[in-house]
Amino acid sequence: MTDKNDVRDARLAQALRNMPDAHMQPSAEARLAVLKHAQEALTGGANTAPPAARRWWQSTSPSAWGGALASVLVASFITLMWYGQPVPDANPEGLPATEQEAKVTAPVAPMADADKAAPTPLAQAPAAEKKRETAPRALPPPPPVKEMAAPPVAAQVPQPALAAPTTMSAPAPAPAAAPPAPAMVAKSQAADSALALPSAETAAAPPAAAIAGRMQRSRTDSWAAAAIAATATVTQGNRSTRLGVGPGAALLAALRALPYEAPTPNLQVAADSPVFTVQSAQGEVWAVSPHRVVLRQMQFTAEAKQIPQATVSPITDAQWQELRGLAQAAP
Amino acid sequence: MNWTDMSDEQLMQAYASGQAAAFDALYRRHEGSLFRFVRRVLGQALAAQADEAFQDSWMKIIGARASFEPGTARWKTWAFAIAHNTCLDQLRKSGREVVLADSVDADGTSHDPLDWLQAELGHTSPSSEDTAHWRAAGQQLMHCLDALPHAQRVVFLMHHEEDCSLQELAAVLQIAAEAAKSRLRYAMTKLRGCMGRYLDGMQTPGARA
Repeated sequence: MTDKNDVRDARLAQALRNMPDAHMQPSAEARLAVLKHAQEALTGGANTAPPAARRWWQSTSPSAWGGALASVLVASFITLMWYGQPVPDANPEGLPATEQEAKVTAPVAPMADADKAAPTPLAQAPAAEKKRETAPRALPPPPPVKEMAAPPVAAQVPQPALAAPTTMSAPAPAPAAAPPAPAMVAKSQAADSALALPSAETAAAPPAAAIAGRMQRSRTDSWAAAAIAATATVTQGNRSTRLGVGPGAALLAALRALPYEAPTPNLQVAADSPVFTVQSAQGEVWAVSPHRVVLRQMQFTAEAKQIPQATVSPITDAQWQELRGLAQAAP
Repeated sequence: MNWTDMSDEQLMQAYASGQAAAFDALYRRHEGSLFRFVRRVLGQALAAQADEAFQDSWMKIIGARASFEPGTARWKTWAFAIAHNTCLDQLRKSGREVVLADSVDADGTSHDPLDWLQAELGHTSPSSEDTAHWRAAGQQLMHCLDALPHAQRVVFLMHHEEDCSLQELAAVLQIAAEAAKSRLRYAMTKLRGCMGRYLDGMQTPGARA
């Protein structure tokens, strides 16, 4: 402090105390402004504190915990969104919703009309509609459906044999005599709808629909087997013709409905050489002549031996004409 | 709580901890001195802006309350340093050149207007030792301070008016203690020359008593 006393001048200090502004004070406005600001600085600081939720988040939000909490929130949200909805079934690549979509893929344009004509009882989502319209057309063309206009004999064919063509009728270039293919597809759709077996819905299906889809597929498989069983091969002279499912089933049904006599082992048919023969997938062979039909087939004995047998059924002219018409229905 | 018995540093700490009444006591204690300091640093030309600079100084003191550390400096030194910087900003905004360097040549020749001022005002020296004389001396000192360079003016005011030591001056002005002492001596030399006969043969009232 000695240096300070050395440079201090008492006379200047006295003059300083007697300066004209020695007793001046700031204005009242400035005083009030300063004191008010001092008060607000304390209370305002409390008001500007972050809200409780933000403080909690800042205090407990290391990045790892924040990420975990966000993941739990997202998972909970998705669970709530999916609550009550069935879990979609796995769809193997070998079965890309084929059967259901194949029957709607052939005539795309008429398909829309068919959908309008036969609304399904189940609510169909727009996404499902779009998916059905854009589904891949991968199946090979099944047999044509003109045989649906089969003679009344076809009514005796078992139900699966009749249903098979409807579900496998994709391209369906229908002849004039037959009902138009789109209409038939529409009928098939309507039938499916009545059976509550949605087609496109099974692609992204919840479990119930998936079960229905599997039932539909297994049914279609049995229908395909039945269709194979309903085929017949007609041989006339050197020419063999394989009939389609509908005509074949009708011809086989007509042949099986004949009143055959008791089977005779190793029957030899001497007279009336047949005009044509019909062979089924089950190994039955019919030799058809204008007055009778001879049926040959293999019979299995108890010892699992095959014994050829033959049986004969007389036929009338009307039956002859009917059988010949059915046999000539092949394209 | 009796705020009047507490030091400036204690009052500032109490205010920073949330007691508004402590600031009121601190403000009342230093209101006049800080206002005078601001007014004199700004000079007569910017006297109208003294209120604004004074208010700004207190706002900055309030805003910096959390950064005040009692162990490093007195509150008064800290607060007057803030006020000094506020005045510098005001001077710069007003377009006045702020020269903090000393305006003395190496040979000691001064080019200050105080020389001219001394010559002009030296004719009107007081003729008595009464209060009127000191009022006239104070008036003369106000003119002399106005003509003093800013750096020297601040040093003189803080040293004589606010009782700051040379070390505190050096800390406030961010210069060496020797430089602060040198500035102070230059300032006093000029002021004595400017005051002239106002100080010749005069004694302070205390000395006379």
